Amino acid sequence: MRRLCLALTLAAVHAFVFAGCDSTEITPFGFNPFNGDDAVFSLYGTLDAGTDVQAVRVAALRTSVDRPATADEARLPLRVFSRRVGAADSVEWIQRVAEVDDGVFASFFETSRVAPRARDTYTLRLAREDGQTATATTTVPPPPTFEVGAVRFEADRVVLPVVVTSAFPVTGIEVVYRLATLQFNGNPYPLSYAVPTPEGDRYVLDLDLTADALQLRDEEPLLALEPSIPTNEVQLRVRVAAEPLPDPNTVAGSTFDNAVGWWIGTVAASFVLPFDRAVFNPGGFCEHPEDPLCLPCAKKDPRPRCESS
Amino acid sequence: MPRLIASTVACAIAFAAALLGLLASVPASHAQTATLRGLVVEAETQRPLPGATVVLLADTVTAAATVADGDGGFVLPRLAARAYSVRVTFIGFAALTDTLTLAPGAVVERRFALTEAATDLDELVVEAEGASGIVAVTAGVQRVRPADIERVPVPGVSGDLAAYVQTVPGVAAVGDRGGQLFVQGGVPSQNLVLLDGLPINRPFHIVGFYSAFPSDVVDTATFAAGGFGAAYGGRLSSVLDIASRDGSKERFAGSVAVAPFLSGATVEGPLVPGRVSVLASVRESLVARVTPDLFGQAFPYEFGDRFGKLHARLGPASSLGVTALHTSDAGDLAGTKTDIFGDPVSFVADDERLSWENLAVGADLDVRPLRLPWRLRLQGGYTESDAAFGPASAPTQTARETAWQATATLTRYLGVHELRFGGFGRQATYRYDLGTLFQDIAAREVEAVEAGGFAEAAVALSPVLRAEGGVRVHAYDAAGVVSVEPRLRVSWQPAALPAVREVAVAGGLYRQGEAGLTDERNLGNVLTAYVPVGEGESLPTAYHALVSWQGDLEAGPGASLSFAVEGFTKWFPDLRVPTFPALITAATTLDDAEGLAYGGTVRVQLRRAFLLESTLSLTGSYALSFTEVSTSTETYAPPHDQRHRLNAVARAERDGYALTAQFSYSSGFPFTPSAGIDEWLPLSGEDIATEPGQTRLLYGSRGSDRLPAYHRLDLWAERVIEEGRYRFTLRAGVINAYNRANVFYFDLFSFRRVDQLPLLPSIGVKLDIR
Repeated sequence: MRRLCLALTLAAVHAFVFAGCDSTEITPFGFNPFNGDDAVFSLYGTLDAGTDVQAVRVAALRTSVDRPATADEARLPLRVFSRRVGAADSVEWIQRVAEVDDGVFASFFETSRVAPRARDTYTLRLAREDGQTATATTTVPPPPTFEVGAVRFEADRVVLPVVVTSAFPVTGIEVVYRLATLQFNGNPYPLSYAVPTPEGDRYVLDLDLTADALQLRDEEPLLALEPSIPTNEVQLRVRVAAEPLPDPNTVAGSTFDNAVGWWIGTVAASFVLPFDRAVFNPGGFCEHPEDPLCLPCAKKDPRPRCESS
Repeated sequence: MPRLIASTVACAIAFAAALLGLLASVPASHAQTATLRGLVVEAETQRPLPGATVVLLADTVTAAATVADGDGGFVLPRLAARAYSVRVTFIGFAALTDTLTLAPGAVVERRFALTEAATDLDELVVEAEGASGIVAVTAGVQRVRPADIERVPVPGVSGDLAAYVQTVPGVAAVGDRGGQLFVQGGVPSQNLVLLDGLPINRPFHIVGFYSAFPSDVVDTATFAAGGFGAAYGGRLSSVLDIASRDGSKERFAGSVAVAPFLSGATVEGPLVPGRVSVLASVRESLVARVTPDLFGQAFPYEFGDRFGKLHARLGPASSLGVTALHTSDAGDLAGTKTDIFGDPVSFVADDERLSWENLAVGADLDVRPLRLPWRLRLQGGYTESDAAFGPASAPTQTARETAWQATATLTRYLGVHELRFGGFGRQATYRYDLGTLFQDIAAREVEAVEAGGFAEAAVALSPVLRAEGGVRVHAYDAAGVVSVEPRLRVSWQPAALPAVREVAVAGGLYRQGEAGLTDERNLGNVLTAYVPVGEGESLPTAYHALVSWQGDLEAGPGASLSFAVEGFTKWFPDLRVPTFPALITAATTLDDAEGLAYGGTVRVQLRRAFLLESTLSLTGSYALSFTEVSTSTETYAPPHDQRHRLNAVARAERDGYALTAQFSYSSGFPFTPSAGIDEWLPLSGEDIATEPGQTRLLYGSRGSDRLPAYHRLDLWAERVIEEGRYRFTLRAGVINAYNRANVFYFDLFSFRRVDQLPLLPSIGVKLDIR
């Protein structure tokens, strides 16, 4: 009886011990360290209704922080197709490998045969030679609408009030300045602005224009004497996307299958605001009455001012 | 903020004074009775014998009895004035009998010195196991003796406290390297480890078998996995309180041990015979220096410790001890290169070099006035602890803590009751530079002061029911908080029921004034920076509740079966945990969190004589535990959530030979899986053709997967030859006997698997001169 007990005990211990052995040694690591085994590709890009050439950047998911160091390493045995949902034909995108940083290469797939239209939905399909596939789907949103108020001059800044209305997330606000001052050559330069928290589908913006605007105000009487100076203007560009921009702590966009990353339909709308004397102040400014270029001051300000011509 | 400390100290002093006044009046009511108190010591070395039994007989009838405390002290109060005979016994020592006569109102002090005796070892060991060993757990608390430590072999010749503690169910070690112990859901930075009252911040060596405390210098250790009393504070999870030996005051003795992992020497002896002793120990690992490639594998770990103690007997019952400890550790946790068969395991990287040091110097004054039922203990000293991660020449992360601290504890003996109260103060400086690891934690030097007091009463409610309750008032000036922490412990010891030796419950509120910051993303970096909790931040808090039941069962002739069952829960309502940002260059941040740990343990110990003079002992334990952490966004299993843990040690001894087998099994630790690595592009207007992107690690749900189960068998053979004062020990064995490839951790940054130690043979010799 004792021997039987001992044998049973040993058998139980043996079963217990070896039940703990790996039965899932399905990777070279001896166990599976992967979060699922589906995702193979990393895909980033936009489907931009405002550009002629569409492009996505595609990479194979790696198990090392080392990036592809040659074009051959970056090149993927992959074909990429897009199709508008509802349409019969698909378009194949062309692979191109380029150096994106010193000694770092990446693979791009591009096409000029797709002209995205607002409200249309498109599917991108990645097909590897071994049959592995992935898909991503996105919709091109309609452009936003603007309501631009009058420029407001405050003590030390110039504010442009704007209300943007969009049912899709506003993902970018950019103002391109084309201001010519005595200290600036007038070449356009863009500045990005933070996207405020929306109130429903409305984004209320008080864009703080650059110091150049104040400079322009100060110089305006002089500029008025120089007709060769180009017209000043600011261009407001607002971009909306089918979904919020990528969050690095989220693995993939919401419409991905078997891939990580984001492919987002986007569209941008712009509004050009002339930025000249009429916008500033028809009365003009002059804070240097002793300046011989200044004309007699306006009466509305008790301080000595020059009137613009 | 000093006003906060000052007012707290003033309150504590006033409270203590009031309590003292109250207590000082008590003896008058017992003027017609007498008190016997004193110490039980080992005659040869004069070291205390905790657990010795003192029985007072009046005409062969037991009039009173008690057990010596952790310092060998005992008190028998409220004795009738008359003549008695005293019988003092302790395992392994000849019983001592004496007579005495107590006069009314007398407080008689006696010192009983027992001499070692050759008696029936089986009987002695069976008796002793009731008082220590893993089955002697009373609601989370157990006492550890050197004999317990020696029963868990480690590479080398002596046992080690670290290896022993890892056999205690509810204690988890994520790896066999790194020196990190997780106790019942707590993390290493929540453990309080004391050596002669001095806190040691990084108390375990980089190879997980070893602590900074050689078993040769350990007298006793109290390990509280939870539910500890009001005398301990400032840490949330557990206490390991180690009392070092004093060293012999009679003659010189020592030992030399040579083993590839850890070699060392110990010497002790009288500086002033009978009054002042010295005890010194040095241990160094030789493996990385002498044999860089041990059996074909790199073993890049260097560690060692140096211990010294001077102990002076100031009077019949008063003493002064001065302790010093220095430890050092360095190595790469992923550093083993190939296993014994030459298969690649991993590689050594200087940028993942981890190192730490501890220095502690302190004094311990123990005064037991002859005529008063008091005991005063003053402990204090200076400690410093450094840690670094990264290349030795330019570490990327560093942490350093220095502190001066002092504790005064006054014990008032009231018959079978005890009152303890004390005060403490600590002034600490924290310096840390974690590089870019944490977003909101800049390199800083911060000073923090803590002070407070505690009062605790141990009351025998009946002969079988004992309660210990107390409160700790702890002021943290950096946080601007005065924490009031109640603690309670109740034990029931029905002598008539062998199967119920004791049932105990314990619980309390615990707070910690410093947070331990660790990068949980990289388990190869266990550097912990202690950072004091600042003003406006909530103090990390824990609530403990434990219940235990220990007893004995009939196991046949000559056999003893002891068992203990325990349940525990720890709730951590205020924690701060690091987040897991996906961008690998991004600094982590701290998130508010809540933690919960609960589970149960079973421990069994069987000792049975077999085959003539040989003995077989079996110790087994099993723990089932659950630990989870919840933040505002997720609930996950932290890396130390070990669900199942089984440990078994079998030891057979005969005529100086011993064979030991130790098997341990644990279910896999939580693991955060990954889909791989890619480059993240913000798509916010930049051209994807020119934007290089940021490398990111695609984490899955935190802690959602489990590593494979862990199991390991260690086998040891030992031969002991004794000749007079000399004792020669040879121990040979093998760790991981069947070369199981146990996963230590998986490095997601490099997709590199790092394993625990492979099959590793070891041999060592030791010569003791006693």
